[in-house]
Order: sequence, then C-alpha cells, then structure tokens
Amino acid sequence: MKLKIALFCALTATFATSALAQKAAEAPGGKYAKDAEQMFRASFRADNPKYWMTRLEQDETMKTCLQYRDNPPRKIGEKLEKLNAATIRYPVDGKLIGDWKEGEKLAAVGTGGHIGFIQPDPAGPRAWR
Amino acid sequence: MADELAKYREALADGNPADLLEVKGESLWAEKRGPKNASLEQCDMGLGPGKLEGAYASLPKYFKDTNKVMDVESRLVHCMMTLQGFTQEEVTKNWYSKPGKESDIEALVTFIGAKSNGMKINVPATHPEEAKMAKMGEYIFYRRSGPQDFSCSICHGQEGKRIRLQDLGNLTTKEGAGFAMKTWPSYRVSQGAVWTMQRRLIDCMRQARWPEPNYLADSIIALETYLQKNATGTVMETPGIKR
Ligand code: HEC
Repeated sequence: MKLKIALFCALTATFATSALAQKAAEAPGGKYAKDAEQMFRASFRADNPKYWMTRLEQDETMKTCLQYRDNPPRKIGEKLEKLNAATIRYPVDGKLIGDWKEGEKLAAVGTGGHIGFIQPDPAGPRAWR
Repeated sequence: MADELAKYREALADGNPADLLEVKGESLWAEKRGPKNASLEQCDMGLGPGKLEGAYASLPKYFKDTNKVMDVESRLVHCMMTLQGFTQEEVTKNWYSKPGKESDIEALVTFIGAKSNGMKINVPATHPEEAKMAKMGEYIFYRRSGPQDFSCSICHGQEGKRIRLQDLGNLTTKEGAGFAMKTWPSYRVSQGAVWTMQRRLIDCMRQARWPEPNYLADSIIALETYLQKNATGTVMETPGIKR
C-alpha cells in the first residue's frame, strides 16, 4: 500500500515535471508573438496580388505547430494527424496512378509553386535555389 | 557530395570574385557622391562615425538616431540618404545586381562585411528593442503557412538535412547559425553575383512559396537579429563563396 502510494507520487511527479518542461519551452516570440504576427504581415510589398497574400493564412494545424516548434505533445499531434487525414480525397474515378507524362512535364518546369517579382523561375531542373 | 563542394570552395578560395567587389565598395565608400557631394566616411554603422572594424559582426543593432533596430543594409541606405542626399528610391533601385547592372549596395556591403573578417559575431541583443526584434525573428522562423506548410524551421530547424546537394544546417543552434552567418555576404557561383543577407532571406521566403517582402522589411531584420544572436561568438569568414 505504502509502496503503491509512493509509486503513484513518483509517477505524478514525473508527469508534473514533464508538463512543466513543456511549459518552460515558451512558444516562439514569447510575449511579442502578436506584435510579430502584425509586423510580419505588414512586411510584404503592396503590389503582391491579393491571391498571393492568401498564402500567409494559417489553419489550426499550422498555428499549433508554430506554438510547439513543430513538436506538439503526442496527444495534440495525434489530433492534428486525424484532422488532416480526414481532408485527404482520393480521385473520384478511383484511378490512383495518373498520367506520368503530365507529371513529368510538371516536374521539368521546376517552378513548384514559387511566386514573387525578383526572379521568375526559369524552366528546368535548376529552378530551386 | 559535400566533399566535392569543399574541393570546389578550396579551388576558389584564392580568388573569390567577391574580392573585386570589395575593392569597388571601398572606393565607393570614400567617393564624394550625391546631391550633397559627400562621402560615406562619416557614416555610423553602430560603432561610431567611420568605424567599420567589427561593425558588420555586431549588426543588427538598435540606433538611437532613428529609434530603430537596423541591419547593415538599412543603415547603409540611411547613410546614403542623410549624408549624400540621395532619395530612398535612388539608393534602393538596384539593391541587387542583374546581368549587366551592378549594385552599389552589394559592393558597399561586401566592403563593410570584409572589415569584420576574423572577428566574432557579436549580437547579444541586450537592448530591449534588440531583444524584442530577436524574439519576433524567432516567431517568424517557426511560423508555417503557404501551399506547402513551410516555415524557415522546416528547412533549417533540424540536423543533417539537405536539398539536393546543399546541406541545410540547423540555424537554431550556435554551430548551425554560426556556420551559415559567418560567410555572408557571399559570392554565389550559381548566380554569378554576391548576395547580401537581405537577398538571401528574401529568396528563402520565395522558396517558402510566400509572397515577396519589401527590401529592408522589419521581418527580414528580425530574422537577421535572431540568426546573428544564435551565431554570436562565431568568427567571421567573409566574403564567402557558395554554390
Ligand atoms: C524550402 C526550403 C527552405 C525554406 C522554407 C527556407 N530556406 Fe533558407 N535556404 C534554403 C536553401 C536550399 C538554401 C541554400 C543552401 C545552399 O545553397 O547552400 C538556404 C539558405 C539559407 C541561408 C544561408 C545558409 C548558409 O549556409 O549560408 C540562411 C541564413 C537561410 N536560408 C535562412 C532562412 C530563413 C530565415 C528562412 C525563413 C524565412 C528560410 N531560410 C526558409 C532552403 C529553404
């Protein structure tokens, strides 16, 4: 009995310290997180098209990952995994392998969704920098 | 493959094309120019007017006269406006070079950077405004968004990652940040040009598939403050040479 209580206490103590340790790793930005978000958003060129600017929006998953520096506690991580798995849509026609020639064309362009004014991506495999 | 790159660097170490730009920057620094026909020799890069030894290594820094944390580029632009009388538009029109179009800023930053060669990066961010900038930089570093859920930390937050042949250091550690930051500005062989840190980070935002930030934007200066703080204590080896 005594041993059980002692064990229980030791365990809760471990939990408590690990929870504390998690708290101690403060979310990035600390008390300036809100200011930082505002400043970040205000830092972009005014002539960026509106639909480019939508790429700065964050969903719940992105916000949570930021909060925990990409390492959320397992419980929260599982929740996010489920949430995102639920958004996967299989092709309606049931064919899981598409036209590889179309895929090859996309790969060769190499733009991979880059946007910006400075340096429009040249086509070809060296488009990344 | 990293070895191949090391050999390549070694071969180029005696003749970094950035050295030419450094010489050009030196003469631009001393040349009387602009509506006020003045040189930049009285420019205060943080250690006092005209004191350049170690200045780059201690930037970004809080400046009383502008009440702002400034990096080497924003401070240089400030000096060109206040001392030489140029407009911001004139100064920043060619903030980076294009084929056939050289950039005074690239040359001047290469020159100023070289004056910190062999010195330790020293951005403890102890002034409250600097501490705030470093924290805001940290926030941006971990902030994920865009079509591929990217943040700086996704590409630069772990050990031993690479994109194709490029090793991506862990910029959240002193070793990783130091290894990266000590070599800037850097001649980029693939681009045939010297890139400043602003250029590097604006291009990394492009790689994150985000819209394009303003040149000299606070978000870039915040990231620089965060990275230089992480790198503090590392000896500068600049101008660098990179892929
Ligand atoms: C999609 C991946 C990706 C993202 C996202 C990204 N970078 Fe990079 N970054 C790279 C690549 C690739 C290089 C070039 C490495 C090379 O050529 O050696 C690089 C280079 C750098 C360097 C220079 C490293 C060195 O060793 O000289 C710094 C500093 C840097 N990035 C910071 C950032 C910051 C800050 C962000 C967030 C705004 C960011 N990066 C976002 C891929 C990325």
